Amino acid sequence: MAFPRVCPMGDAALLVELGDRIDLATNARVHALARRLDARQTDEQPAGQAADLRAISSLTPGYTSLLVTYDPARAGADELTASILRLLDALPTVPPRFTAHPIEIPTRYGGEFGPDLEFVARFHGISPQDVIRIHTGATYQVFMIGFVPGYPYLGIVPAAIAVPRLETPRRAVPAGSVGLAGQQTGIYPRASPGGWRIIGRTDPQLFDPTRDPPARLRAGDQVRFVDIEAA
Amino acid sequence: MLEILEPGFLTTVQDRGRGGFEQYGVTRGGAMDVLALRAANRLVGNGDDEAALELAAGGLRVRGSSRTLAAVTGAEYELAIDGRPVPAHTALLMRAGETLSVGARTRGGYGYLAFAGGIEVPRVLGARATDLRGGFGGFEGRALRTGDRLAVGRTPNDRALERAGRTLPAHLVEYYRAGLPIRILWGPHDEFFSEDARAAFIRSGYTVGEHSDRMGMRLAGPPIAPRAGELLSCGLVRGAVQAPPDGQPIILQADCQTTGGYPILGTVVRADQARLAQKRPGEIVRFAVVSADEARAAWDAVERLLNELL
Repeated sequence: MAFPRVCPMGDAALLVELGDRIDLATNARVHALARRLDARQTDEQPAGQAADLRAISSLTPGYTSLLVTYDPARAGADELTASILRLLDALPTVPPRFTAHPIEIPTRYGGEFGPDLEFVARFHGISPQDVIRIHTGATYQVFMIGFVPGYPYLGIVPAAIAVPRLETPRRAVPAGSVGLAGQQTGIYPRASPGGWRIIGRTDPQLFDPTRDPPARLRAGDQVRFVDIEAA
Repeated sequence: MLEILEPGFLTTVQDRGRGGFEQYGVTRGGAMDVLALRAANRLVGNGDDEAALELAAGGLRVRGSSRTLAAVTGAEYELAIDGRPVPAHTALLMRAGETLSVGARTRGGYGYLAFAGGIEVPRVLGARATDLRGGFGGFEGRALRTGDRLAVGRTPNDRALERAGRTLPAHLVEYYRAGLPIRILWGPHDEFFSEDARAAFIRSGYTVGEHSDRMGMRLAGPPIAPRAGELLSCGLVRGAVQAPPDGQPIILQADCQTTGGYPILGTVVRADQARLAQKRPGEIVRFAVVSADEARAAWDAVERLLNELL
């Protein structure tokens, strides 16, 4: 399949697909495109130029795609598609870079806070301390926010601690729980059912609907976990 | 002030929903049947953005402390004010202290009860809609309970009360009853489905499942299993027809997740989302594929119907 490609999702949304494999570069390009489209919505523009981009009402990043919803009374799918493809063409290809100052997530690992830490260690034949060292040693990119309000999908988790999801999801995972699923890690903003392997817990203040933006982490941000016990 | 004497099942404050926060995982939400919500608002003289009560079933009793206009649209119920039967789809005069009862549902899925001035709850993330899963918006982020007291925007003056007795145009009511297929556009993942699966989806009727709710409508019928089991999660919109591995379609509804990884065979056009939302478990739904131009014409037709009710 050739990328990029733009497909309608109904009569008021377009799905812009930039690839079909999880990697940092493709995901970084998704966020770069989102930022450009977002700026176009609000910025003053020269008359007659890409006015259709102002019809955009929301942008939802996925791993390798961007969902663009728009008001069909203000722009047609074909013209909007053409404008997005032109913008993509002009988007510089910058290799993904990690910031020197990622957002820090203070975390308590193991015990009652991380009931699956032992499992992850046994699964790979390493010690729980090794799991913590590897998990805190990497910088992660927020690939996207989804599942529930404020839930960050973070990656890429080193293969040395990657584990499959639970076969039977837990009915209740406490707010702030830090989980692993394959080469992703995530944080539960509020108590909910969940199938990720829980290795620790952090301050759950990830989502507050009375603030704007309501989520502390945004797609495209970079984060690091910090072991509170070790600090 | 409105006092809830009996809440009914899953009665919530809803408006047209909140947009622009999907990137933070916040669903658009809002009324399951936005068309009926707008019709109820217009009957009582409100603008389209006011909030009303959405009823997932019947069994609501509400007492107003001052005189007002009320209207019930969408699903149909036995209605009464202080025991005297009153008609659906009509602007109803309620005197101070009177109780409106919404009894057994006789037709449709979701009902809307609007009051002149609108339900006054704080806007959260730009809307008054209740986000049940997120636990915010609407009245304390939850379904209504006995004893809840809701503020209404303003008390209508004598002139506004002259609207009492106004009813919906007959063909707006007909929109729901026509029995036409639900129109979809293919995609975005239609190439992940075989010709046979696509043909089966259009040719067959699907039964609305018991476990359908504000997040998704579950359908049972000939499976439309995709060739790929799961894709990388992408953003989603209401109306998307998802195919989980068992091939039994799920159509995303107002409170759907903002991202997901099941392949999407097609997406219901905006003009038919209200009609679809009114289908109840056990009913048969049929689908037809339309072009982008036809989808647009369908939307314009719905807007024209509503604009007869300015």
